Amino acid sequence: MLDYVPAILMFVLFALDVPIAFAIAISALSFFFIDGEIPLNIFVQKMVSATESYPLLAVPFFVMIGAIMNAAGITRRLLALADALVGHLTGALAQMCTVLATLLGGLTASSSADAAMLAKTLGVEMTNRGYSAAFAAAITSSAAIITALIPPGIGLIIYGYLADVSVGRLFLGGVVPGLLISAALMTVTHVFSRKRGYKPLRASFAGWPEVTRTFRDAIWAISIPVFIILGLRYGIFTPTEAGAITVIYTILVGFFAYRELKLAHFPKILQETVLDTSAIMLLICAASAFGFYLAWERLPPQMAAWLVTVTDNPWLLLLLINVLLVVLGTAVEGTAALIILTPIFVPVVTKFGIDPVHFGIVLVTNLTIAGVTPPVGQMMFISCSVLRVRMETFSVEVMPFLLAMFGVLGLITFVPWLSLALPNWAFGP
Amino acid sequence: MPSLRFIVRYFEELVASAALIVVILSVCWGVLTRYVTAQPAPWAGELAVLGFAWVVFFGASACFKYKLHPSIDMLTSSLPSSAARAVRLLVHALVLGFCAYMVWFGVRFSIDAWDNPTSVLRWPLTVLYGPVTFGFALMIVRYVERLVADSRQAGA
Repeated sequence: MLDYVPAILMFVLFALDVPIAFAIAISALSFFFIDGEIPLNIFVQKMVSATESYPLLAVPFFVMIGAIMNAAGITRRLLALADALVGHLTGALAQMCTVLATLLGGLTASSSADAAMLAKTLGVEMTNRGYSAAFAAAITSSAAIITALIPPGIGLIIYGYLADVSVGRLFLGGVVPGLLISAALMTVTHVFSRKRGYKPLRASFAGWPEVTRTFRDAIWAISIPVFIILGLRYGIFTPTEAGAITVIYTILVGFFAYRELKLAHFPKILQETVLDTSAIMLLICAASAFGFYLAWERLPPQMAAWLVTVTDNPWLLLLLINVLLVVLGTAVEGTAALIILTPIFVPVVTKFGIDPVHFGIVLVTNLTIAGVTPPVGQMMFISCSVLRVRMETFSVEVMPFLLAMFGVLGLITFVPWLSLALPNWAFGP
Repeated sequence: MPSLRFIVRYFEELVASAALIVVILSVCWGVLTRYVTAQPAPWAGELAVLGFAWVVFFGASACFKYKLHPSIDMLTSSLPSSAARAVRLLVHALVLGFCAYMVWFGVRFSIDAWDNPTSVLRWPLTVLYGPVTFGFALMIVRYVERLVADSRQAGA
């Protein structure tokens, strides 16, 4: 029974509003005190070990790339391209939101940052043009989910580290699911805009010359994900190195190709990067210490053994995990849940013969959607606070989007081919 | 020259940002040397990883200034105010106690690690455990600062 005390303590501390990283770290420390024989030095070593990980260095790099993008005017160019592509559709601004998120997904890695950007630009514009603010909040926060799946994505990097899975494979695995979510959101948007009379921005399709022109203008930015994937595929660099090189590349593009980035932008870019990175990393540090406890007490194998008595069907297991995650995701912040649950679930699912790349895509998709499920969700908070929407009205408007995304989640869960075809094709099975 | 006030206010961000720049440049240098001289600089990877500890632990302290460490207030926000107050006090004690414990540990580790060099650069491992010590010490400072500011705001 004593084996479970740290795990129970963790949930108690969560409930008491202790910062999540500290709740995890304190629970992990309690394990060393309860056991009394394992040297406490291991606790500190585990806390520091996450920062000694070369793969996790990719986190600050990709956070920084997003921050530079915004300052360098790259986002604005992608917006022009989105306008040329879908500006003539009903509900044009909302459709642009999804298209922009899909294009941006290949450049930025953090869904929360994208939700903020989408809400501040397209969201505000939507409310000015007669869209309901709650609808604007719903589509801006939902579209931000795509970012997590189109490479690069921070969730995938963290999962890759914790589950010991190739980040390159995960990156490619997210592409098709990301595009599916994007298609689902556009369909829902279309139906809604028809019903409510949300107007197109232009009378007819912009025409290929304008699409080509805006595409050429954005080519420096759009080529980034292609460059990263090719580099990983041919083993030219690791994901971490790709991150560092892309930081330099975006700075050069901002300075010399687009000429909008200024030295004066850098204090803010650096501050944003450092803060976002360390909030996530402190969680991972604490989770590493907690992971030592889990492994020592052999809790994941115990859980696997217990689950086998419930079901020996991997599909049913995936369904159970998904339902559990959706319920958990309503209350717990996605990144925190990802960090805590990956070391618990991965040994279990691999025992059931589920591909860890496939599972990673399912897990990250599910927990990113958690960011818009009320009452707790990072992207929901951001969009609602930017657009001054009450959570109650948001909850109603986001429902059709949520249902569509859960539909895609089901599809990704039960058709592993969707997540595995691309990585297996590029890297070999 | 930035004023002393500015440095005190943004101390963690300044240190962490400098460390971040070191990290980026050393990873890039590692790639460059691998392709240009075919003789990768092994110290570059080590420097990057050491720098990362400075980014993370100093940055984590800065996060307290802006309340960026996520927590779940669903339950406590529905408690009656006297109970909520008691819970808050308990949480403050836990967080501060944990930080203090980490500082004490960090100091011990930093001293012990002085004779223990890193594998490539042969620097004392203190450069790895130092930021833990500093970071958690600064977290105490920022946490208390926050408490004082919050209680002033509540009093006013």
